[in-house]
Amino acid sequence: MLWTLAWRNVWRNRRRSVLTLATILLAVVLGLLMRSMQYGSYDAMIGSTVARTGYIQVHGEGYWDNKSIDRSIHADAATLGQVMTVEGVVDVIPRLESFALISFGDRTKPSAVIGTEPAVEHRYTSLADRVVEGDYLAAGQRGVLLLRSLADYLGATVGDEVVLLGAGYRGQTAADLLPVIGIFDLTMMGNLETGMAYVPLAAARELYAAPPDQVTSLSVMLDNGGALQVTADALVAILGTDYEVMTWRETSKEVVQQIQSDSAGGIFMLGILYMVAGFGLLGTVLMSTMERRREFGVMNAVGLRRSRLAMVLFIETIALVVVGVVAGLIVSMPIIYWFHLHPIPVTGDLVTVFEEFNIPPFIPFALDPGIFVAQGLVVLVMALVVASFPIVSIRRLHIMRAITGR
Amino acid sequence: MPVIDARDVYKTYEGNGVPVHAVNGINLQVEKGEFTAIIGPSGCGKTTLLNMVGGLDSVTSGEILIGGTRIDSMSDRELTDFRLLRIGFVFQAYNLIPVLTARENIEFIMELQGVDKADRSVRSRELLEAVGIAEKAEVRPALMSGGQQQRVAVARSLASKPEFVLADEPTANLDSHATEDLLDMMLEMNRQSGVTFVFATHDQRVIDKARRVVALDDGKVVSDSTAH
Ligand SMILES: Nc1ncnc2c1ncn2[C@@H]1O[C@H](COP(=O)(O)OP(=O)(O)OP(=O)(O)O)[C@@H](O)[C@H]1O
Ligand SMILES: [Mg+2]
Repeated sequence: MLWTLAWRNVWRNRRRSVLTLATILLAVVLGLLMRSMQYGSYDAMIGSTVARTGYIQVHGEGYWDNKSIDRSIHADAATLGQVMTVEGVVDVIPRLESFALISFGDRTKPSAVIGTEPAVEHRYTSLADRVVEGDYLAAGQRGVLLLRSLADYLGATVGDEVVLLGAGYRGQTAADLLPVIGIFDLTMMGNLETGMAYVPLAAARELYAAPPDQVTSLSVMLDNGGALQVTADALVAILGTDYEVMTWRETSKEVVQQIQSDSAGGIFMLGILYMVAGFGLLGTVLMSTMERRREFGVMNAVGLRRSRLAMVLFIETIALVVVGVVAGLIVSMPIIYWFHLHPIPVTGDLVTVFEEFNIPPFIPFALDPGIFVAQGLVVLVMALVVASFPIVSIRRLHIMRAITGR
Repeated sequence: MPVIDARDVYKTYEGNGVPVHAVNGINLQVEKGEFTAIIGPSGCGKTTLLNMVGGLDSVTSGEILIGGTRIDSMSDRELTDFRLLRIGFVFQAYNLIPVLTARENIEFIMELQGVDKADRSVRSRELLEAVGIAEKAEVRPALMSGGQQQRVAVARSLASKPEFVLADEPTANLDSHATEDLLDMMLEMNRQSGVTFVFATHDQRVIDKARRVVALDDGKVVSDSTAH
């Protein structure tokens, strides 16, 4: 009967209970929607980041701080094979990149020249889709793909031969004459001071006079980012300490920071939401406890132990919260699922970033169970704190004063 | 052995620094089957005495034995259980649990005592019939008259088959007709089943029906007379 008592007490002041429920429900719904959207946008940001950098990058020791081709590493088929054996690794993109001056006629511009495996490169960065003139590179081909702004500056078009000149491996001269195979466009890279050019890996080794199998970086792709650090540690274990193994969290610290500060804002908002809901609940619970002091006195007088009386009040509060949370879940689940299937379009600068990396410019809501668990815990803690107030007042209850209202 | 045995009981309230000697050395024994009224002017200590005897309030000094068991030194929890099993209460303001029906108010006590469901429903029906409002079994207190609520309260007080029922001004909120009915009902229970009743009252109608009248003044017993 204690449950019956608690349940009926909850509905005793229907309007007040409904109002309290509505507050909790609203907090839960808003909180879930907000977090789900935030997590969805983080997933999208991470997705576009790792498309660029890979989940994990492997370099020679010290390369990240001083990107010299002299810190390149030897990565033959056996090494790549080893990397591929690590759990979760689905692909490896070897790159050999450095800077060179690119000239055509009397014009010259410093430029990043990236040697890559054309097919693998395309798989992750959709580079071939960015080609606006000419063709995409083919493996083993002698030729170069120029960024449009660079080509425009040089006045070079498809079929022209451009001169590449720079410092090669271990102080050798890097010099070559390569035909322009195609021109690609990256809107977000459009205004760079320096140019950007892709060449097939073999052509890059020739240009920089680097030994066969030499690379400056291996971008490691994973099936998902869940076990990022575990995979990174496994790579270190396999490759040894001569290599620098960095996750995207280290190579793209600005993305991590952006996510963290955005998330902190979200948590602050959540805090406010749940403060409002919590104080609403506290008000209701305190009022209904005070109103019923006489009743509590009587129940204790006729033989209901304080501990069980406290239990009734505890159940009342928890019941109110559980109903509010369940209702909140019932309301928000379909909404979240809808936005998961029909993502919100992104706007502004983000659109180009998304498109560049062939990610649809939409933010799908995340269905991460962690979101629900976290909020469930927050509400639970809030409910426990609030539910402890009437318990204290029952402990202090003086039967006769309660009954006589003195 | 008396069901109630109050020995040299004192109660002093420390109200605003001025001590109030509400009960000032009372000895009172009540035997099984009594129908007793405690009377006296307002503030003479009737309620205070009843509360101490009922284990609702502590004594300042003295001893209270119920059926031979000392209750003045029990812990809060022991006292609560003792009240549940051994003492019935009827209050001036009925004080039923508003969200429970008449039947549930009675069964609630029995459930606390661990009486099983079948026995609870048999006994609650018996009790509601005994107090004459069987037809209100499924009605909540708010929809009953004061007299009806007080009948439920009497039924509730008897649910635990207590050694005695303490009733503090049970008729103060009732009109004379309802008072008469309630008193007759309680007298009937007293005669038929030997239920012991102790009242604190100003009500002449209660005093008239009581077989023993204990008069207090200034926290002391000033007269104690038994009618024949
Ligand atoms: N909780 C309390 N704190 C301080 N003084 C109290 C308290 N309860 C009772 N008193 C005082 O103790 C004395 C006896 O009070 P009590 O309520 O027992 O009288 P009573 O005989 O029941 O009176 P009435 O007929 O008005 O109900 C009174 O002077 C009262 O003011
Ligand atoms: Mg009184």
